[in-house]
Amino acid sequence: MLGLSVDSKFCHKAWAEGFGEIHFPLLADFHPKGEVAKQYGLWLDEAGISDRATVLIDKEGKVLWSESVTPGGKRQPSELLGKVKELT
Amino acid sequence: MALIGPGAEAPDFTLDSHLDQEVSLSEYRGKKNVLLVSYPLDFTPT
Repeated sequence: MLGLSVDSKFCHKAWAEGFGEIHFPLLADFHPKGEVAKQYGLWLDEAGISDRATVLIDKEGKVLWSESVTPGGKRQPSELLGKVKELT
Repeated sequence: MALIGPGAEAPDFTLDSHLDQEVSLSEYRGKKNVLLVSYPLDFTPT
């Protein structure tokens, strides 16, 4: 599992500390800002941020499933878990 | 721009992380599936 936003790694660190610890990498799509988000169709140009979305990628580097819940939306953890369990 | 969808090749990337290590998607190739979780900004709900 990889987290992605346009924040710097320093901001990520400060945020992660608030949870105690986050063991999976929070990726800094920071400079050039949103470069990876743009390639994945996650970039929201007007707001200058990445979407709240989830992309499941298989071992061969192919996208299996993706979903946006919009920046203000909520992910459905049970649905995500189901998608991941289908793979294992 | 539309969200990348099933069947598409996931573009490789290398990004720095809060763990002070660079992470490339290609590291996981042939080894692990990857759940990429994008969110607008730190200090917002995940």
